[in-house]
Amino acid sequence: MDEEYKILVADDEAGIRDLLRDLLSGSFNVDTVERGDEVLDRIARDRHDILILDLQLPGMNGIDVLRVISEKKVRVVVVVITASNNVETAITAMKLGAYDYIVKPFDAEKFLVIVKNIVERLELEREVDTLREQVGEKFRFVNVIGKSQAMLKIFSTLERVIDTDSTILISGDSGTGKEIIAKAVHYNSNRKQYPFRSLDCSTIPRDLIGSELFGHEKGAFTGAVSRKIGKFEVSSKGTLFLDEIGNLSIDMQAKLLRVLQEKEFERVGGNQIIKVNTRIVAATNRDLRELVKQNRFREDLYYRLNVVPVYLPLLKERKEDIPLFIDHFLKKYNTEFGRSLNIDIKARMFLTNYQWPGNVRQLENVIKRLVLLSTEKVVGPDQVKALLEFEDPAAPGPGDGDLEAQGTLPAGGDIVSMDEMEKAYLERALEHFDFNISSTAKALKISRKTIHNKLKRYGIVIHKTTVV
Amino acid sequence: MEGEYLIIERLVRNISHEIKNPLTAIKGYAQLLGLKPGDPELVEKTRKMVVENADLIDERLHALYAVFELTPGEKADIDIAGTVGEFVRSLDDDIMARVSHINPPGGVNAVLERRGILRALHLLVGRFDWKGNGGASLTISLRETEEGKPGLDFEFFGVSFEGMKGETFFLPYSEKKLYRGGTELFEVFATARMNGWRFGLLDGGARRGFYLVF
Repeated sequence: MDEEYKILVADDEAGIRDLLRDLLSGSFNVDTVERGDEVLDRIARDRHDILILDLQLPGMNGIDVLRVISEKKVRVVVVVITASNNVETAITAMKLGAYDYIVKPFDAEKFLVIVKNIVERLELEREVDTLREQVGEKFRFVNVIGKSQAMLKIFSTLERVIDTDSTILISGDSGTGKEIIAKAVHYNSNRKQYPFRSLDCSTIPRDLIGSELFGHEKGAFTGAVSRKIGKFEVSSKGTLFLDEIGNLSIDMQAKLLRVLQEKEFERVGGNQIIKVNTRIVAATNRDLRELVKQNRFREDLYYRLNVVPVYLPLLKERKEDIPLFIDHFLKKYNTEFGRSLNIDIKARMFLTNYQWPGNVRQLENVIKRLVLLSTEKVVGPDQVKALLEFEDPAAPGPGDGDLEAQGTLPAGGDIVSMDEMEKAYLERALEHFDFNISSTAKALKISRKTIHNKLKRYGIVIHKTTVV
Repeated sequence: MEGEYLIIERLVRNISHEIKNPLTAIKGYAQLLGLKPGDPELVEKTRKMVVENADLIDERLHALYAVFELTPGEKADIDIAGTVGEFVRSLDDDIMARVSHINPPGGVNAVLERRGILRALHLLVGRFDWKGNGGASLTISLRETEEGKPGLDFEFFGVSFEGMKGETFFLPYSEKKLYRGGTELFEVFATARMNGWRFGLLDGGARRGFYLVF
């Protein structure tokens, strides 16, 4: 057993305290108290993992201690030990969350088995917490790709509302990262330790969506062979992401509105009222206001959802983020497939200026294919163009000719120049190699002299820890 | 009969609880020896714990039947208020600060066993767990009953008397939140019985405290 686990023994009998200390101290840190009114303060101070609790204690009896632990959700596993084998007391203790109830005089070996089982449970819980933390870390705002002004503004808005339970409506074209933002909202909020669930309202058949959202009772309809818990209930205290919300039928919109207003619902085929505390993040790639005008979306539901509107820009409207996405996806798929592909600067410029009708999802797909299919170590613009043309010959790209004639120059002319691209790339490469000119030159397959010339040309000054 | 049966049941439960604790220690150390054989320190500790806990069982049983060995003392004309006042002044300063006594003008005298009154005061006031009930205070006041008999009310403040019932509150080990030893109220009950006094909960439990009627 692991000595890092802490146990608190609360018993007014010195013999019991000594016995349990001697029984457990080889494998645990063991503390003891003799009064019930000392237990809670001691746990708050020393954060014990396990509490061995006698019920007959001076100051505050064990059941009252257990009640406070349950009400305040103190994180400690409680084993009740008592000389009373009164069934009602045992039931009360278990209902208050005790892990086990042992009658004195107890068998020492059986007691140790119970403690061992608790340790296994605690280790599982720790593993789940760690995994949850790791998943959550991925979606921290600082780790979500978006240094463009548009994205920074979105993060700033979300940070202000993240812990307020306000409904958020994310609008954006397909592939712009709506679910990523929904997850970022959840994992940066005080709901992060509770479930995140998502439902794509466009992929579930209309007659089944009610059951998906609200669950159903056994026998509610043909095929309902057992009770099902719906996503609203599963994600209570957490977050439910409803993608393509514009696809909900009118009657389902009415039900959703009721849940948002009353925070309660009934399962399909059931009549028990179920209360929930689920935060809703909805997303759409359609203009809901237009759907409201066409009477295809309820106006009251629209206003209930649109408390915090978020508009995700098209990828081509946040070009500054494209190089970051390129690096991110290269790293991801190189690791996944055991490759070490790189993309040269001209290809990167091409990718940055491409129109990306499929947005981030399309960019990710392209990088993934490049990593999988390329036979070279470094990919140039020709391979990239070929892949994109193969994907969709009609899709607009930056091309080599007149961009305006191709109709691909965005209004406002915010295309990034080759020099700006090269400068940005050079700065990142230098930072990656800790401003070591030789290493950077070697990686970029250019000479040190070329780098010095480029530094002079772009006015880049190195101060050993940063570029200016 | 039903009431008496419940009292006996409560008594048996209380006593078995107090015996089970030292038995747990004895059994536990015996098993621990088997789990960690050949440890001379553990052998010595086990020896010590078995002896100590066997003595503890003996002590607890002795405390129970000792009350039946009480003998009445001499009776004399006692100034009850004066006796209470003298007792309160003998308490430690920190406890004395939490105990007040109310005397009617003129005082109250009665022919009583002084030793019995002092024993009751010592058990109810001196052996109260003042440390564990940090917010507690006590008022002792003289009462005169309908029959004209004098008595004392012990009314506590800042403590809970929850769960104390008129028929069983005095049983050994019924009440450990207020009295650590567990037998204090039983000893008062036995003293009262021996002297023909009445001992009970104030207003049947409606107020937090006890009464003694002489």
